[in-house]
Amino acid sequence: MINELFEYILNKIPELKYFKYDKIFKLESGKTLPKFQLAYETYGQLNSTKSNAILIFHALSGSSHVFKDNSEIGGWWDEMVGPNKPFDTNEYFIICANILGSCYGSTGPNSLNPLNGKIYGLDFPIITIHDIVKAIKMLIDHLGVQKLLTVTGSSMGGMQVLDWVINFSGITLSAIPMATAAYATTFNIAFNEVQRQAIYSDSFWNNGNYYSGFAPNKGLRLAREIGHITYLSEDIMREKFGRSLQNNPKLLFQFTEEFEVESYLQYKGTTFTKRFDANSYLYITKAIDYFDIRQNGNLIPTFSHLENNKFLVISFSSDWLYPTSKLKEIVFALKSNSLDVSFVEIDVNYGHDSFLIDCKDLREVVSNFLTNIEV
Amino acid sequence: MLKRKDLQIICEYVTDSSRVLDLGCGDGQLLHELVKEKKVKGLGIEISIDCIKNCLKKGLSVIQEDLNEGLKDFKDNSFDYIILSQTLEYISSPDNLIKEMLRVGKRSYISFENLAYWRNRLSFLFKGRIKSSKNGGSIINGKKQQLLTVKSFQELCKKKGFIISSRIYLPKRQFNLTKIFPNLFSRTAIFILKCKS
Repeated sequence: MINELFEYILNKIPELKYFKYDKIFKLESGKTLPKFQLAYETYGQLNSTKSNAILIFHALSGSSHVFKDNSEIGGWWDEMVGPNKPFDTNEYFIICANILGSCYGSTGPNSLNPLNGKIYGLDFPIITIHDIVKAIKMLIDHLGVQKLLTVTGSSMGGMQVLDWVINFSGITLSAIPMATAAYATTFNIAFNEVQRQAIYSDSFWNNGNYYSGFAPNKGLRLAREIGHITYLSEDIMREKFGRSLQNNPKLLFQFTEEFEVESYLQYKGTTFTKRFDANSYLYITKAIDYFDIRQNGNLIPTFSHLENNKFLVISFSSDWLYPTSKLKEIVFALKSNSLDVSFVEIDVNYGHDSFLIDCKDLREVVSNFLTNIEV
Repeated sequence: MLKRKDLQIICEYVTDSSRVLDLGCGDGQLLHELVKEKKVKGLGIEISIDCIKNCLKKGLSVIQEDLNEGLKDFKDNSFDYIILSQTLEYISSPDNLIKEMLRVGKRSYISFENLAYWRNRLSFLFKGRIKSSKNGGSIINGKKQQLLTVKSFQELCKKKGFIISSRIYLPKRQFNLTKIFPNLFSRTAIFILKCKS
């Protein structure tokens, strides 16, 4: 069963902790969760003045496991988090929580509904980025952290950064949103919709009711394959695979996977089904689609109440899912409010996933920025 | 302490706590000095990622942008000072950028190396190439470079209706010959332009 799989993964992370909130949690939709829990990890030490905390938000399929540390499983941001990395665990207290709706230990559609003792499935209420952020704020309060040096994240994590800073600017010194946007674009919604359709179309999905049987792996695999294309760039795909054939020296004239890129996508899709829940995928992509922090289509008033927050906005030149133009809209709005904002477009050909790769420019830009952020 | 004389002079002119936009801010030397000494609210624009890293290290705000694309993301009159120091040479359409500067800032400071400086003229006459003290000429540093002289800049301003409110010619010595024959005796020129209103 799929839930045993997540338990197996989570058991391999010694640093994993849980924050439990046992009261009713009101959601943006008006619905409620009777209670929730968040799985989270922290690395480094909170100093005596509690002035060295950094909050990292993960993206769609991420988890709280931002850094490998002593676990067997690699962290999703090992390139950026760890000793002598920009988010230096020798210097900072790094916090990363699994988001509401996800399947890595936080309450989501695969959790038990305390009201009837059954797994939520589609009874889980629709959540938004703001709900996700609000839940994490409760964790931060619980940890006794009163100031954050910075909040950062990419993609959907960047959306959480923006939502966080407009709601909790007073406790946040700086923000580093990367490869993100102030609203899900038509294009983003379109791709999310096709991915959701892929899941719906799998008969095993069964309206979200599959936790006691086979999971809709075919649908989830297809969703991830589509998603994965949007995370890369044409350049990197050509560079990595070109038109190379996988197993046979020549074309077979058959409907089997022949090109390297085909088997790569299938591999990526298949491994994903062994580490993610289809319902979580539906809920989280929906949360992305709903995200829009503009006020009547205008981003400038969104930031008008901010005063002393510093921003470092980062885009990646080959990202077509969250292109530079979307980040420049954020920069423009921040600048229009006379806020301290820096912006860099990192020149890298890895597409949207560029934030995850080994990138010297990204590391240096972030660590240089952080040097000057002090409580 | 700033090494370049034009930057020192511009720094003296800027008033305390003003809003400063430095176009082509490089490593952020001038902005850093202004933030430190004059407590200005500064913003730099720079295209080179390595320069941006240095600016960030100094705690400066800097935006990566190609000045050849203008200042379309800036509101009218949003800065007290706009500085363009030894950067106009590399702008493909100088008059458009200056127009934009006058829109966005109250005062614009433009400094450049005067190619008609007598040493440059001699170098051209005897060596057949212009030895600019900073750049070594456009072919050597691989950038497209405008040929700017005090005279050509003034002509541009006249033609486009830009009002020059002040001129500073460097070096300030040689019996002040720079005042009488600026195009011949000034190595570097600083022009202060004001917006029309």
